[in-house]
Amino acid sequence: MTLKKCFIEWFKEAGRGHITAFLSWGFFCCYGFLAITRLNIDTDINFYGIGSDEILWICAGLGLLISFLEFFYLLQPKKLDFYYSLPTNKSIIFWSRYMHGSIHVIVPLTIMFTICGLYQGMTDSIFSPYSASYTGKSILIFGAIFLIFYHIGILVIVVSGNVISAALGYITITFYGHILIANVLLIFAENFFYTYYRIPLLEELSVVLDPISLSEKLAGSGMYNKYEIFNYIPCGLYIAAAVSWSIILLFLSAIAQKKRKTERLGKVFTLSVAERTVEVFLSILAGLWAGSFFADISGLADDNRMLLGVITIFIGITAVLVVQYLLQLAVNQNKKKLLSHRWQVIIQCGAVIFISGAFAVGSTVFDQFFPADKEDIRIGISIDGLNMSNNEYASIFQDNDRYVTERQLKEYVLSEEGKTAVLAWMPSVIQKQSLGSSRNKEGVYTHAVICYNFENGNKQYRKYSIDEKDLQAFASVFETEEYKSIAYPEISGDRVLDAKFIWSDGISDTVLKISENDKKDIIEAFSEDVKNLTVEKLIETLPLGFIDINSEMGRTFQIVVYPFFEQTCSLLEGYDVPINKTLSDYEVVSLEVKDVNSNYMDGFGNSYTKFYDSPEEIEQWKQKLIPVRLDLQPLLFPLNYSQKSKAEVKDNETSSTMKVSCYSRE
Amino acid sequence: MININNLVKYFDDICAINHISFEIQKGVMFGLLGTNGAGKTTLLRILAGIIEADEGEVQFGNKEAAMLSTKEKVFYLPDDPYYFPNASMQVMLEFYQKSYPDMNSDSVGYWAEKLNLDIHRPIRTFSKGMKRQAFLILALCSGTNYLLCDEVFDGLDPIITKIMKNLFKKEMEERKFTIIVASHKLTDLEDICENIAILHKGGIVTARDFKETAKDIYKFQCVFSPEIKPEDLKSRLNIVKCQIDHRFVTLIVKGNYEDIKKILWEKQPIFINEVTMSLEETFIAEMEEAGYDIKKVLY
Repeated sequence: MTLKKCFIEWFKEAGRGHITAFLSWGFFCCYGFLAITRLNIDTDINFYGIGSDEILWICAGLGLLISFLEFFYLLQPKKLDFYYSLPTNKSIIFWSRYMHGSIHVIVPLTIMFTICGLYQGMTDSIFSPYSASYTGKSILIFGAIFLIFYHIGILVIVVSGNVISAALGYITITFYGHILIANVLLIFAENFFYTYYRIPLLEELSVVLDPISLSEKLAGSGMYNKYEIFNYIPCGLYIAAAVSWSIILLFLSAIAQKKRKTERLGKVFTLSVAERTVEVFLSILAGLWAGSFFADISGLADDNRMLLGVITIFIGITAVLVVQYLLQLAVNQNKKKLLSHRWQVIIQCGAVIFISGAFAVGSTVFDQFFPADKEDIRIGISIDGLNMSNNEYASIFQDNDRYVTERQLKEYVLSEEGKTAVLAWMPSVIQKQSLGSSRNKEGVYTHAVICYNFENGNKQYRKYSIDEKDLQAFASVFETEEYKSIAYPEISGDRVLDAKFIWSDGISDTVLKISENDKKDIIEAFSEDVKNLTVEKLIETLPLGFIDINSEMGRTFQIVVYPFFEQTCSLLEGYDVPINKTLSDYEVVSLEVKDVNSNYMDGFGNSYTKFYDSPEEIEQWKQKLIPVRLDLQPLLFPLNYSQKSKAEVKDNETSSTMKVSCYSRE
Repeated sequence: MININNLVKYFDDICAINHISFEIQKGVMFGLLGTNGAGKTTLLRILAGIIEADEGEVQFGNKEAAMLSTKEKVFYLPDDPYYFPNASMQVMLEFYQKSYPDMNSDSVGYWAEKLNLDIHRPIRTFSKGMKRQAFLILALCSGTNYLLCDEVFDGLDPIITKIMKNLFKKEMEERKFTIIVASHKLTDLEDICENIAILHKGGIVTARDFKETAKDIYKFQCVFSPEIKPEDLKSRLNIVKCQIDHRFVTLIVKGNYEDIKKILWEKQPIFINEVTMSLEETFIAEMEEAGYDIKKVLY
């Protein structure tokens, strides 16, 4: 029998029972039917390919299931003796199974995506131009996701001697990278580095080494914008990672299936090299994990990082030895052999010492980092509580939410005089970090996050604790033109001449009936006033209100008006804008004051609500209430956030009432 | 001819096959005898190319066991053969036909009908004996030059065992091919195997034609007069075993029949009777002569 004929015969043989075909074709038929049904309802939020989490999990799940179905014969002694006694090359059986499994997923996947693409192309005119590219990309991406999980399954079955070790191996490969990065290295970074905020390399690694995260990134999971999804192409790193996962796993499987010892069936591993590799990787992970767990719960990093490093290494080595012992006990069941691989154990302990030690020793270098070449960098900066509402500020403290900080780090990127001012401001801030996180307990006013953007695209993030003096010194940065141009962006007059100018005092809105020239004048006056803006003035007063500029092009700008913006204020007064109107000028019908006893930073605590409706009480409260919308600088001009009020304000023009959320001044 | 040369196989620390060397001539039925764990199945699996030896080599003619051209000529029948779920004899026949081009489907049908086996019925519904018969038919009709059978008679009732042995004999009469049968019972092998090798703890104790050996071993039951001491015979006869019960003496003697008889008659025995020896007795005697406590191997 020729090799080709033999391969085809074994390919047909792999299909005996038709379980693979039934599973894959069944899943894709059901999914295709559901996808078309959902596309029939709404094509804006439903996606059959990229952007769909369901197909991601179907492909990953089929990878797992089909790998076990196709290659389960490698774990069945009777079947294996039967196959291997026949005049057939072991590799032909292996590769025919591989092709059978792959084809039975790739073909129905392609057909299903093509049908969905054709259907949406016919029914959704926006999608039509993207039909071919989106379908093609989806086939490639989800095919790659299937292959990653399929190849993991094949490798673990080839090197395992029984189904339990294969299942445990699958779990280990799938979650190893995630645990190593998220539960070990990031925990080390958080504890050893006082100025840790983010380490992009570790974040990239956490995706690249974790097949689930990588698949989610490849599949555009979490994306909702239709155009973004249609145009989505995964970044090169993720594509390279997916290709590497597939090729490396398949390569290892191909070698392992040749070297595999049939007689070791029933044992944990069929290859001694696999046994050694697993021992090395698992014991190192266990050692590091135990160390990071101690570092996280002990709180010793606050007092003595070097001591923490030593203890972490000690715990790590102990864990390595224990896990190595247990693994050898489970695998060999021969007590004479226990701890016999001395060099291997030395390497494992060395790895734990090196990694744990690198964090302990490198912590000072990390915290004292200051770019040597200051010419080619741009600096992104965000200070918690500065240029953000109290709600945003609270979300940073309470939920550790990075959204606002990340937004500011992208917006507040300084490369000129602002950068010079930041670089001049930073040395004293960095110097104080050596005091460690004990500064967190007292004296810390807020935190500043710095992002060093290097010319080659690399980024370095640091989070510094800053005290009141540092914040005052930050005025030198705040008052630079570059920083102010970002905080209060200059608006081009021509772009907003047709826009609506709406005055808001945080309670009600008034549309300004002004000419195009008047609009230009307001914008120019605002630009002039911003030039004279200082931190000192912001500490003293709250804004009077703001002008929302809504252009017909859909753009929205905002001009914040402070009492010391003399030119802007005088112009607005000239247009009869009630800029000095405050809550005390409105008729307040009733008032609801919720007193939160706890500090807002805790997020917990008892609270009680009081209702006021007597004119005397309301009048008293009116004088000290500030609409939430005017609370734009909670760090510079903090209000009393333990009292959240809701004022029921009567609008005499419409005879209606509106509820206005407020904070009190004191 | 199968040439097994210095074969060694370890399973971790256990030596399953320990430097085994012997030859199996073409066209014979060769028995592999040994207790459980003696290394019979391991040896057969190495011969079938399923596992590889750590040392040594196995050659079928001039070709190695693992070569595909060799495997085409070898059929391995394990003690519990694998069959596809719901597969019938017909399905297995079709599958084997793809691997063994000389598979004779007519013979399979003939033998199945003779033994009342429905080739379209799922094998899983067969009794243990029927399954063994079914696979033995498939193995014998595979048209291969070598057939490796592992404990094919184990657990079968005497009638089925007889039927299966007849199958072997008839097929051997029709075409000369080499069969190796592994068993832990000598009775399974003595009436069908010309040559038997004994495996014990991975090593080979002996490998030879015991029927040939039996020609030179004789058993006599005698009663001599009181003045005759059986020990006196030892100097003149090659006594393998001598059992004395009062005056009743049982002798197992090796040598020329006429010479033995002449020496015994010279002693004027009161009673003398020659007893026909079973192969097992011959076997045991031979082994004990060689210094092995063979009963430990056999029982």
